[in-house]
Amino acid sequence: MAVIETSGLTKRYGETAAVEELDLTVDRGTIYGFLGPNGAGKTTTMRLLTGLTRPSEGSATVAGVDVRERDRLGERIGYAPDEPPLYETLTAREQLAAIADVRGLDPDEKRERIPELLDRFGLDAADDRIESYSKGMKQKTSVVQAVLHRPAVVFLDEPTGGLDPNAARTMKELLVELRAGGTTVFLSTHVLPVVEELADAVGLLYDGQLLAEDEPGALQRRLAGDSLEDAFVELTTDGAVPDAAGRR
Amino acid sequence: MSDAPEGGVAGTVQRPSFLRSALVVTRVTVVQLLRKQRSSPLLVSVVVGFNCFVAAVLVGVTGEGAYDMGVALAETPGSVGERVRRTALVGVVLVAVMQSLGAASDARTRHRRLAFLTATSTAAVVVALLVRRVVAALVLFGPALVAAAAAFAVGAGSPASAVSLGGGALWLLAVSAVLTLPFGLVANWVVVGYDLSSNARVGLGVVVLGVFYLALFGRELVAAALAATPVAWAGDLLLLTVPGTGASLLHAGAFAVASVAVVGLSGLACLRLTEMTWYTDPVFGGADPEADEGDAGAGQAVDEGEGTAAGDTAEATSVETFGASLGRVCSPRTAALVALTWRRTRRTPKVLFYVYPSALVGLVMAEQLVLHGPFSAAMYPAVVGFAGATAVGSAFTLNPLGTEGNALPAVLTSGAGGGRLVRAKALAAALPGGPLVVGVVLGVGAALGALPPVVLLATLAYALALVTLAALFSQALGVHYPPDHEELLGGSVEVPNKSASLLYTVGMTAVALPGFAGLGQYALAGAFDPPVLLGGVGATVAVASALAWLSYRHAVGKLDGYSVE
Repeated sequence: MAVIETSGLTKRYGETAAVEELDLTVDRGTIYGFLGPNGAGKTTTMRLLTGLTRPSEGSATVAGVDVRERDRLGERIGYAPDEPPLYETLTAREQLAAIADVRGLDPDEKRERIPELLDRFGLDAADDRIESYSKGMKQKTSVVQAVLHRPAVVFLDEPTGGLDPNAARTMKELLVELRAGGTTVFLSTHVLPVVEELADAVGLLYDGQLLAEDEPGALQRRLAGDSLEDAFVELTTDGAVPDAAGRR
Repeated sequence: MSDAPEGGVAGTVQRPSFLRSALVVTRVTVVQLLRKQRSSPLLVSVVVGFNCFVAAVLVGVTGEGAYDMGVALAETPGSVGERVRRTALVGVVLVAVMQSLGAASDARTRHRRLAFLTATSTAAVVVALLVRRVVAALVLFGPALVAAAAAFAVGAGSPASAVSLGGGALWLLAVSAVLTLPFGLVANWVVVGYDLSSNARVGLGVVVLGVFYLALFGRELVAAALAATPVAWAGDLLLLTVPGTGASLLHAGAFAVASVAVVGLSGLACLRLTEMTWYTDPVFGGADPEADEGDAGAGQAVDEGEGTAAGDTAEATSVETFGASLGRVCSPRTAALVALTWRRTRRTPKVLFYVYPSALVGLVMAEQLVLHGPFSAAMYPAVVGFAGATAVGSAFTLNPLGTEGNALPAVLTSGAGGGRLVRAKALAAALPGGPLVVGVVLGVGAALGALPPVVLLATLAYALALVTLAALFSQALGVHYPPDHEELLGGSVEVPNKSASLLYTVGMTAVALPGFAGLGQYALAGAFDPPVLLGGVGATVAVASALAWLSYRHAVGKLDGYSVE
């Protein structure tokens, strides 16, 4: 059953189309790897799907809510952008508690979930101010914030960026666990092995358009590459693009 | 093939001369400054408007000024000369105090232009910084000073007068810009070197503004105090080509030479201070991006790191208790946003700096209208009501989205909604601000003793209506400026946009005016005329209430429709 559906979703900035005629379907309880080179429109797509940016044309629903209804949408999603959305002068514990309160999370659940997730990610400095954190620590706090309220869909933009191997493994375990719990994970990353390992489906965005969409293994086989990285390079190399699009 | 040695091209690079480096860095720095100004029509209009205002005052459009002094030159050259000298002394002091404030902001470590420092010498960057300050000062004040000199020359019928008056004034401006930079660097050296919070810098700014205010109103004393010092020779420099004023060429020359020497010394001091400040560990940030998680917590960032974990915990408890109490009278989610705003404001109180100009306006109004003006002391409560209410909306509500900083996406995707955000921001400002303003109005009213109850009640209604309006009207304007980073004071805080502040002040003044007039009638006559008092205050209350409602609707609409582009 689809939890994310877009139809002709387009975002233009003047004459430039950052996202063009995007038709996307993501099933509930899956991990969707959203790939593309820099500037392909991945972040804009995520902003469109989280209600932060208004579409120029087309429609999109996430968890049954039109993306133009930001307040209702907010109750069903979590979002960890590449720039951690945190208040620097708060501690991680305060940040999470504040956002939980703003979201109206049950106080008992809040008291249970925050220490559990902090502990899981090894955020020992949870009572220090966020301004003193390393990039990886901020990233962890951001992801914890995005999943705290058990959203139906969680959008993660480069969640493993800046993480050490241990934390990256914890992150991957969390993603798998979220999927098992019925949460849909919309994952944008350049770390292709993570997508290869975890994703149920992969979408490749190029110049604002969906170039290919399939299971990672199937996509790899279709392009006769040894890895998803080969498929990515083949699809996004100039000259190869029209051919690849034709094969879609 | 290149002849470069294997592993690098160092052998082929010719290090440019100091002069060449300084020229390149200066050009880039100044071009950046001017391009930033030119790219904003609003900034251009503010600079032009400021120059027009200063020029109008100096030339004498609004009263006696340079033109009138020029006309008087033929009859009383000695007296005119004295007045020019006095004006020069006061002007030098006022401009120097203002420049000191700017210098503390300009000399922040983020202005050290790391990219240049890794490519050229510190001295070249210091030269660029000094020239940048001079250019900024000339853009802001230069045209007005030249206009004043020209007006004097026209009035006097002596074109030559404009040469020393205009040139001298511009030279004094440039020298003051250079001389004050060491002050800014010292301020930053103390703040960074002693690991003080940015609030220390704000505190310093408040003190400097206070000094400015004192100098402004004690200008005659300032001029008298400096008249017997070599600083007074600045007057000789200004009057050198003005006939009949008895300007001493010797004094003018001595002043010019001394000021060149002082500029040189100031440059050397800047170089020494930048070497002390720019290369210390703290300026590179408290948190090492590569730090282990266990260590990172120990490296509290320098800029805002005034708190400790224990202090934060105690503060968190008090804020949470207050927030929980608030949750009983409004929705818990709104209360959470209010508590969140309070906590962040307590830890970054410099955002409240923008309350200070309103307080300053209140002081100036009290001084001009009551202390040295036609109104009786009965006007004080109305002044407090207006200035206090304006102060309530002067800080974070003037940029309700911008002050969320990086956390903005988290707030917008939290499902809180525009209405809740606007109400929370308004409550966060009005809950402490409203009772404070009312308390001070009552206190001042009680201290005055014989204020009729009707007048006192009318003043309270006036103040409360304005406080309500301030908390919402500021947001209605502020939502138009969410992404702006206005960094008058430095640091990471995003503060109200200048144009929002201007529109806000104008709007608040327009709404407050009828009530102010009604209350002013009593303060002038000593007896109140009910239709005037109640009509004036009633008009302000009615307009403020209607505008507050419209402001709320507008702010909510803008927030709900806000698109992160």
